[in-house]
Amino acid sequence: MNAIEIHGLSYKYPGTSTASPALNDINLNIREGEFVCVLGHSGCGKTTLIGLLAGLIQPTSGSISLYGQPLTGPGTDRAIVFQHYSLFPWMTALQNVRFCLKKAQPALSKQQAAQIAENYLRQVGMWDARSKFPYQLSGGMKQRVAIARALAMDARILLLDEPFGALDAKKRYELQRLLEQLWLNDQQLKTVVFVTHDIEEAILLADRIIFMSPGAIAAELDIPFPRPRDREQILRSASYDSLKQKLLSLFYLYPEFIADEK
Amino acid sequence: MKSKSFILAHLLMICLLITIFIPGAKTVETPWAFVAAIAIIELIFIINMLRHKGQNNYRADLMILLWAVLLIWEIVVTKLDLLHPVLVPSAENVFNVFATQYGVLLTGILSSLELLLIGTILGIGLGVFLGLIVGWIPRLRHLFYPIAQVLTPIPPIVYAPYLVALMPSFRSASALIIFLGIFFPTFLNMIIRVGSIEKELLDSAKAMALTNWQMVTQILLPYVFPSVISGLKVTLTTSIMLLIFAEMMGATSGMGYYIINYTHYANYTNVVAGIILVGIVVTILNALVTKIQKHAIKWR
Repeated sequence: MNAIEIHGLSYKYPGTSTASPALNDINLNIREGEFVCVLGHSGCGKTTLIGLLAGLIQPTSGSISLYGQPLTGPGTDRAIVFQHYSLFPWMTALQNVRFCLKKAQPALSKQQAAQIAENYLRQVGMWDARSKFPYQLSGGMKQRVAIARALAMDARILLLDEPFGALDAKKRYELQRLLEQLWLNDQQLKTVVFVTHDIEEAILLADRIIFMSPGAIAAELDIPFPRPRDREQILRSASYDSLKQKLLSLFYLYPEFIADEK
Repeated sequence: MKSKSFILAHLLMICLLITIFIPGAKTVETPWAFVAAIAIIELIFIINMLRHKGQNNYRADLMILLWAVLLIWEIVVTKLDLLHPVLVPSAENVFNVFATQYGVLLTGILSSLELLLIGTILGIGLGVFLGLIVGWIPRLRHLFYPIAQVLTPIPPIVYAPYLVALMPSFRSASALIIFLGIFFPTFLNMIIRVGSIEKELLDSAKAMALTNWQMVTQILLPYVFPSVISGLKVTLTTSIMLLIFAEMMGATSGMGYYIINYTHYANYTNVVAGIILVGIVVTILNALVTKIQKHAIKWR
């Protein structure tokens, strides 16, 4: 079953010329439980795609269906993690998780909600820091809480917009591994759309990489490595090198999109 | 260095006390209210020194300045009688006003504070709340943002006399003047703040499919709360200015009324006492706001 079906999707930023749509006639199906990485230069429309999938912006033309239902707007069936300000700064880590959990699953009893929040905060190693406000947390810790919050909502689709883009290499590896682990272990099959511009990150995480040239899908690559993935082993393998070369050549083939000034 | 200025401050204070009891050119009602005021100031100073012990503070310098000013006032006016006897009252008589008229002054303060609180709280409350709603809903924003931009810069003092004529009672007119003076800047500021929220933060909230009401009360309100709190001092300054102005326009009570009333009688002793009183009240209110600001926001 397809979790996400995108047909003829176009999006044009209001007030720009028709010559440079942010997205132009995108067609894409994502299977349920698939981990898809969207790779490309900045400005290629990756974030616009996430915005459309989240229902934050409306397509100029074309349509998106989620589990067969046409997408009409934002909803708690999708959880989002951004690069910087995902957490509400006036809530503690625990309050952040509880708030979104309550909005996503209002039927839960207080005890159940408390249990779920604790469970996920423990899984990301942030239970001891649950009473801290975001400003008291490092970038990596904030993203851990944001991931816990997204998973606790039990949304069927996770939309991650360069979630580890602002972290140093070591933290990024840790969180990549943590994310894969949590995603694999989750009781519910979750579909992930993960936006990144980091080739290595895409190869390590994705079942399939969608490479975007400005406004369009330029290539799709299946990543065959078995899960759970062993980073060291993958980096040393020959197939990793060839995948990386392929993606690198795509980066060179499709130069960075520069918006014409108006 | 610190103890030197501490000693100097107290030498000045002793000089001042001695000077008070030296017979001068001018006779005063009684020196004791002035002496009591000096004692109270000294007490506050000592308590402050003890509370902030060990810190490198400059409170002693402040005291040197204050005692020096009072000493000069005492010598020039009471002892030497160098200035205009009606325009520049003696310190003894000014402080004696507090001792003899404390009942009137206290009622005046209470009357003023009531107006101040009603106008300011309503102004901030409605300004924040309506500003957030208008800022959040595009249709309302397009309608009211230009209106707020036009109305906000008009000083309330301009339409104050008209409001006094328009409103049924003077007190309601005063409260309305303060309210409008606080409401419009707050309202406009909130519309602007909603427009400048970090995009990711706003998108995180939007993605939760919140209703407009939830968005305003659960996201926007806590988001702007710190800026409202940090703006309280400016807000307070504006409200006090408007309050005193409104009270000078024809009130029958309050601190502004007290001052303008005695100005009409050319009783500048009471006028100076009234001005000092306003200063004291404003200082206390400011200290309260500082306390609130320290404790209100835990998340940054």
